[in-house]
Amino acid sequence: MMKINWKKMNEKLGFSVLRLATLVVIFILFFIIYDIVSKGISSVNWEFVTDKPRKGMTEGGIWPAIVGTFWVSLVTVIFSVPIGMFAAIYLNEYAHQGRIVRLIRLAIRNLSGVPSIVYGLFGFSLFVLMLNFGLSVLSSGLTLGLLTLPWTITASEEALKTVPMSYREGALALGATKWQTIRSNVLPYAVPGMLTGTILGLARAAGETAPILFTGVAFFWPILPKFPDALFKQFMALPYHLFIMSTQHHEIVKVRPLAYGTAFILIVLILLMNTVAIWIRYRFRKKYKRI
Amino acid sequence: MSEIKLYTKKFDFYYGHLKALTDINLEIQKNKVTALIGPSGCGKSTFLRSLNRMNDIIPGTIIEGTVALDGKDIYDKNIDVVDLRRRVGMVFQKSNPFPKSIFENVAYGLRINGERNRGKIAHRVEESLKNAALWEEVKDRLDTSAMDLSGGQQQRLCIARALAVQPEVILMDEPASALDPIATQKIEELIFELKNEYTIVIVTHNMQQAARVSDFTAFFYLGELIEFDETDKIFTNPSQKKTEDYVTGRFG
Amino acid sequence: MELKKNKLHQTPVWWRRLKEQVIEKFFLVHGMLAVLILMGIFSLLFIEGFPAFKALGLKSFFFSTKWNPTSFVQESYGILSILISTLMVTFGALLIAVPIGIATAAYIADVAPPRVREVIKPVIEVLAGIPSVVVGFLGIIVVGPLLSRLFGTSNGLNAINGSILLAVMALPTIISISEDAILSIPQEYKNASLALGANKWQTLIRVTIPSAMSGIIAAVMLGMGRAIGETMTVLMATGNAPAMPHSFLDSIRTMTATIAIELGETVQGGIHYRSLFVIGFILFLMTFFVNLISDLVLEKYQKVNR
Repeated sequence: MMKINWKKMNEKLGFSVLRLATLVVIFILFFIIYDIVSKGISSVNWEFVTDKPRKGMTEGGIWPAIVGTFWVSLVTVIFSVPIGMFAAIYLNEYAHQGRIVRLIRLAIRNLSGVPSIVYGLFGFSLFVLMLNFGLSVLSSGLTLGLLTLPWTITASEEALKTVPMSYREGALALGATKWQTIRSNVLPYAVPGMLTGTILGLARAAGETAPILFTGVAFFWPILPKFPDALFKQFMALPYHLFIMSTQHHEIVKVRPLAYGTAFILIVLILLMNTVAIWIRYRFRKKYKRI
Repeated sequence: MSEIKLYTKKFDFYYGHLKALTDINLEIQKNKVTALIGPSGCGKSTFLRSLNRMNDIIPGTIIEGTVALDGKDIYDKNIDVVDLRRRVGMVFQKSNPFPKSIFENVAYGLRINGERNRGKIAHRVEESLKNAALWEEVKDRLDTSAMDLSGGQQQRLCIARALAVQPEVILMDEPASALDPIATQKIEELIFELKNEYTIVIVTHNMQQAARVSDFTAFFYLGELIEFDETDKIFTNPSQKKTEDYVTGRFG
Repeated sequence: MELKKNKLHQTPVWWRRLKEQVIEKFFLVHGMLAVLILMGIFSLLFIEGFPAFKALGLKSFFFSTKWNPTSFVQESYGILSILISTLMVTFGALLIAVPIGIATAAYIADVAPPRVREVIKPVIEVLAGIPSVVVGFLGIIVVGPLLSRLFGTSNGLNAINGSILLAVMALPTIISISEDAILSIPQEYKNASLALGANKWQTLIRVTIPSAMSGIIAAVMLGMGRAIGETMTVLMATGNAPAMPHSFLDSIRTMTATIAIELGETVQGGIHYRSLFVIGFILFLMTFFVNLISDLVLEKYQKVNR
């Protein structure tokens, strides 16, 4: 009897440890969000969001950084989503097991492990110097596009996998060609899933700093050129702005509220994108359960 | 009168190293219903899917021997598999309507074949739904999702979808196995109607069904064709002991 | 082949086949891009860095602790101290993240009721999405002061701070991959153990986790890869003193931070510039092998479980 109780206690204790660890992880996330939101929200007002930084960046807002992040993310999406989708279509729809496929998969897994700063070096060397795009939105967007490519491919492939095999078989049995099958009976049903992956990838790209460090982001660049001029200009970006406001500024303590405000906007932007993505996926799953 | 539509000769089939079918020699007559029976895993579905090369989409499958449609080997290099599948349609075990409207499901085969004329499409859709005995039930809601139909209706929709491209042969893989008795009866009546125009090959688990709907029956066992003959003969006076054991319900 | 009654196909077969071929090749090319990019990164880093390697030699890179490229007296490019700093913060990060990560993964996969799981999984995903610069920011403002009070140091920008932040960055990777590994253990294994009178805890510790070990190792390796390559958090929170660290309370500078700090100040094409590419190349190789090992471990484990 004594022994059984001991066993039971052991189990209870063990599970409590696991639960505690999980709570720690949840706490970390909520602490990050709580701290940024509670301390950042007071700095955020209309002027902060829509104005340029002023007086040596000790006053004013972050509008150029928001715009810069938007432009760069746009380039990232335009570059990485089609390529990622096409690569995923190849892997999931056309490829059979073979050396080429194994090579591609190995490459994708390794690309997703390459440090972001290394992407920065690569982007600098390739886009800024070799292709002569200079320090620009284009160079940074393309660099982030490369960085997000493995995620886009993986997410697109996951989305393609959720489309039932019977949709493909049904079309093929009617004499549809492979491409007709994919276009009419696979892609339309995979798009919501791909969208989820794309938004999640974009959210991560928008928060990246290291890859844009040498490819175009500027300390202070309050000019807001119109498209397409913006592509070839330097830019400000939210994460980099946060970085300089918290480490590089000459009056770090004084601008702390501005740094918190920047972090707040960045976090809200990313949480919003995450929420949208998770919501789309949730609806998408529900729809498929019915089928 | 009897004309051979499809035949196989010394046909072997492998999934990788696993041999699923051995030396199948079978002649399928035009405008008749041929039933393929046998216990699960005997290879009858694999055989059926070989007749329109649906097995091509499974990696690592290998075939040997001949499968011929109108005397031409369908595994020949010069045969276009897309053309073949337009001539040899298929209805699957689990009804698989596309998540589109009823109309678009039936029109699908026409559209992918490049048919653009709306009137022609509408006409063919109606005709196919009538031939599949579904028209009366759905004519007022052609624009609603095919997913909202009942199981039996969905399966008839899949038949209508196959009919729309006017194939010559229709392969049916246990088309009624997931349906209730009334829906099953409807499908069986439909098969009886369809054989005037089409050559039908049907895989079934249900021996009564085979006896009711088919003219010829092939009994498969462990990847081999044990016996093939007129349905009456298979069920009343089979020449093989194994066949007799199976049709009398002693195993399987 | 003679076709009767079927009036449908107007497009000639050769044309249709050609079209399909072209489309397939189109997608294949995009798949191959991944390989091309990986090779591109490898070769470009190598080409940019090689002259520095050639000029300075293996020895001065790997066996010198002195990194002082801008010295007026004697420039030196010894990466030993920054290499060791990187490994040190990574090790510290794993010390924190591995137990918490595996415990959380075990909880999600084996203990938590489905509804709790539905809540925790998005939490992990959102945590993975927190930008490293935000984590670094909190490292400066929250973790730093806390550490300096705790250890009585003048500031809290040191290796421990970096390790804590890197642990936060590596946790989502470790959790989600370990969880997959634990979930993939067939129920029969657990049932066998339960049938022998073991309770759920004993089953988890003695059967499930050992069976999932290769997956968990892969998860740890990938988490390690993330920690090695993470830039912004360590750049912001470790103080960046380019000297050989003696304890976790020392300010350190990692390989990633070195590149981030110095590339903007170098003369393009100069030895200093190229030596930063050498560091990048070494980082690339380190993460490449870490990934490769985790890949091999996973592959082995998938074979065993089949």
